Amino acid sequence: MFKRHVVRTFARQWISVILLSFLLIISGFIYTIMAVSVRTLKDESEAYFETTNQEDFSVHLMRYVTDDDQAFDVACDFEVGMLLSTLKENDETCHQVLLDARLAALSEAEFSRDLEYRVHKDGYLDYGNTRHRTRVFRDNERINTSRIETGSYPESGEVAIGRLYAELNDLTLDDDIELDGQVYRISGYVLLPDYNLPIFEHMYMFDSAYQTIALVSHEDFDALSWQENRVLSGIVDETMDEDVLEETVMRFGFVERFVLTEHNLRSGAIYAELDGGQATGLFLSIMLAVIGLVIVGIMVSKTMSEERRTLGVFKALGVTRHEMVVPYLIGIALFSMISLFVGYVLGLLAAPWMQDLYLRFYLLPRGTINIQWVDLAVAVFVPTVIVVCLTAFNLYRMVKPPAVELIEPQVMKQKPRRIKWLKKLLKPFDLLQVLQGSMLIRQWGKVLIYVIGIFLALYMVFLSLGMRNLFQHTMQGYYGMHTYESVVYCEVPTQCDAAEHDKGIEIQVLVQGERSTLLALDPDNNTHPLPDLNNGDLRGKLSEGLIISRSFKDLTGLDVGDRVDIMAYGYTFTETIVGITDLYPGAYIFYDREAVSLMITQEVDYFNRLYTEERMETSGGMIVHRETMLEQVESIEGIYQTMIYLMVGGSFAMAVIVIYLLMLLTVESKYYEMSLFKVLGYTNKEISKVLLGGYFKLNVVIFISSIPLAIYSFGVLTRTMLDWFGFFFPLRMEHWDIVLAFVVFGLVAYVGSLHARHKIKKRSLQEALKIYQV
Amino acid sequence: MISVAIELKKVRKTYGTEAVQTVALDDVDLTIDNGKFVVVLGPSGSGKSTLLNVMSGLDHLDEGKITIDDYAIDSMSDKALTQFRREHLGFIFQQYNLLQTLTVKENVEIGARLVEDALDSEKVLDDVGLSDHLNKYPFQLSGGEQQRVSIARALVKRPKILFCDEPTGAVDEETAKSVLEILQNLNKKYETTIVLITHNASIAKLAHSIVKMNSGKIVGVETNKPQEARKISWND
Ligand SMILES: Nc1ncnc2c1ncn2[C@@H]1O[C@H](COP(=O)(O)OP(=O)(O)O)[C@@H](O)[C@H]1O
Ligand SMILES: [Mg+2]
Repeated sequence: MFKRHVVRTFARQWISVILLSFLLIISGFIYTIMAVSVRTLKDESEAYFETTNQEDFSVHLMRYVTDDDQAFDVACDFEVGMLLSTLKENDETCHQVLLDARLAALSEAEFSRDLEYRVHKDGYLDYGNTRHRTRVFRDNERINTSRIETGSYPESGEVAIGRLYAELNDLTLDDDIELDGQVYRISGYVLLPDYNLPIFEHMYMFDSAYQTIALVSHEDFDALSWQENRVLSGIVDETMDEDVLEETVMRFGFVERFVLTEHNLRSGAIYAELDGGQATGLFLSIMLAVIGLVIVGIMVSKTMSEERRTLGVFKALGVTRHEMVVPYLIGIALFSMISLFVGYVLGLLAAPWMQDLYLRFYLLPRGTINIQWVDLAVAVFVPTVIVVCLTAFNLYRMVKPPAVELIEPQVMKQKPRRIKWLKKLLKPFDLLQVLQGSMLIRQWGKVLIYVIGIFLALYMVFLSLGMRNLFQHTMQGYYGMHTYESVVYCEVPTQCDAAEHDKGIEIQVLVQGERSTLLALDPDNNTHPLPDLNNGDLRGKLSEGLIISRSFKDLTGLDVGDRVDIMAYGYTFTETIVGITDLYPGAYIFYDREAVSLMITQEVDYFNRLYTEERMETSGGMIVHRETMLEQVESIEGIYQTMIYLMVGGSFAMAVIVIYLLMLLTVESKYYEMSLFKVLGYTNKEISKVLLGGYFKLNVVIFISSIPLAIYSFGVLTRTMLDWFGFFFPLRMEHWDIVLAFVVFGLVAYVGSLHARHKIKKRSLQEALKIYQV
Repeated sequence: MISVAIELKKVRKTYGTEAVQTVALDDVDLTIDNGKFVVVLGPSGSGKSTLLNVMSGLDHLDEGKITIDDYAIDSMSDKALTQFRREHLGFIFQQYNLLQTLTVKENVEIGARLVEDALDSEKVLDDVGLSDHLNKYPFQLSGGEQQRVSIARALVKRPKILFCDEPTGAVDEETAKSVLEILQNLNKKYETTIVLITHNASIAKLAHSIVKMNSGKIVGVETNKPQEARKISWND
């Protein structure tokens, strides 16, 4: 008999039940898809990094001779400021001596277990009419060794390229491609542990459709005419402290930059990405599960408390507590388990897809989906057990009093002290406001759940709106503002013809300890406008001091007139900020090129970038066209946007459901009071004002307080990304978003309360007053 | 001159689906005069509450006509009904239905704010004998006292008609007596028409007239002799 009653109870609230079930399915789904795909990738990657001996850090070295180099006790005499490439041309032996001496000096510092140079050459890969950028590697012996995923190791005349690149460009094994005018046969697909993102010279460009890593035999590598580049890769013992390590390395004057793998976008981003993905998945699913299950609990408790009297009668008749409660608990357990299990199964089915989505960006081995029982437990059983226990506690407590007491009206047994306080507080206010306040206080437990639920839901709305803006801000904004057609990444100035073009020096620096990119430009350059906040131009001020980007100002709080310490290339100098430029998302600072050049080479014509106003096809450095960048950006944006819209849509839907259900439940729980006021003769409008007005005010307060919190957390997120990877991730909220969120929130809350009131209307007024509950 | 307060003509009300129907009111005709104290008496399930609900506009009827003071209750909109209840009707139920977070006086004020010419809350509470409990909370009062608060809440806005559904159903005899005496006095003092529902025949004696119900039908209307109408005795 009770069984049928429970089924009917659920059936009567079918809309809520369906929405709740949806919430739980999504919760199980998100948890499972993230847990399974991330574990699969992680396990596979860890094994892969282990066998290929992934670097723990990399060190970029100066491209010219430094004071420290000169001090080496070796047979060669080095001229400070001379470019290493010039040195190599003039005296190949001494060049090698210098490289060895640097490696030896770092080795002697005893911070690492092993060091090895990582050598590569940047150029182009051609096939048909297509030309893409490529970074060709000379395979290492110990650190960052290659893994051939498919096919065979490249012999002479053969090349191994990235699988993803091949797939996205319809290339297959045995196809021919050209490197440096020479035909190579694709022998296999290669993975390199230090390039799980194909990031070469530009941070934001890592779409595997447009660039690839490549591996050729040692002889073929040496024969490539392209400029050779090298960084140092190192392995440390696990006990090494990161800060000590960085300090030790940076003490050498010939060290340009030190990057820990976990802070390195090209090799370590995957760690943060996987952890982040897992954490986000866990957070979202727990949040949804908690909200969903709390709502289930409230619904059941509400139903039961409405039936207090009936239960009392049953109890008087001799029905035991278990007989009354257990059917409800079984109902809840079944409902929660079935919903979560459906989510779990969907998650398992979608996990390979999720892995592939990761592998659309990351060059990592694909693993076989690794299913473990623990997922089933975490996704399905744990939440079910928790909700059943909580509801059981609540329900048993509810039916514990003797039968007579259950039949009697449930009234306040004593005046809670908080009501006394509130009354004092609200003394100057109107009676109805006192009532509003005291009712909220009386049900503070429910109100708390309501506040938390609405708050989380609103945060999801803001997060989804913030993410929506993400890529527009970064990429297109960035590339849309330059006026150059091509940029030459010129590592050896003497090999690039700088005539008629704008020179620039781009280096990584620390400004007051904050990582940022210094772009040194000439005041008379034509390609980099530096508009200030009033649309004036700041280029002329480059020789007067430092100009910083608005994003950097927002991140650091620095402003015009501040004097800051800038650390780069072993030098530290102090300069005054003279302007804020409104363009360039990210941590950028701008300074006079000649000054930087003098600092680095003791001459005035050093540069490592050339910006051309007309499209440039050949140069001594790697050329990237603006058009290509935009193309790439759009392609990546496409994928990202799909993902983001999925997340936006998903969390948006979740938020809507949560707000709707909470509103529905809350208003419905006011059923008694609403009926009473109605019988007394209060109009619907007055009733809404008195009984729901408190929630309305609460909603406004939650909404308003969620805005600064969202903004603050976005700031933290942005700063963390910048701090870790130097990657600008402008999660931002526009005025528009606030309006949109407000409209959505208001609308959903309104429809929810309307639905509830409609339900209330259908029940007879006088019946309501029979409910033994006040 | 005695005017008619409430008039029911062929009122019919059924509950349930077409398959399983309960006829709660079966062609009920009834007239209640102004200023009278009327008791509706009948066994449980005979349709008394249903009668009270439809004649006070709390529930809709299926067929028939109801007029109160020339207002056609049966054809009024929800909004108009609410306004009508607000201005003319008062209710008292078995469960008191007080707001637990408000004091006695505040509970009465909830009723007083409904109309512009409401009586003074404290004075009405004095009338029902609660002047010492103004700032207490409902849980600090006995059942009878709580019921008196709900009477005060209904009376403070000076309703023309007061509907009481088993007002003494939840209190003991002595308390019930005092509650009923209060109602009697108010009926005299303010000339409020009172319609009181009960299944207790003893209570019926204090009314001007008794409407007897059974199975959704009115099976008889008795008028008490004036001298008897003021006495209550408990003998059931
Ligand atoms: N909301 C309802 N739904 C279905 N049947 C009802 C409802 N309210 C009352 N009834 C039925 O109508 C009849 C009259 O009920 P009611 O007016 O409450 O009787 P009384 O107040 O005299 O005890 C009863 O048979 C009861 O079961
Ligand atoms: Mg009844």
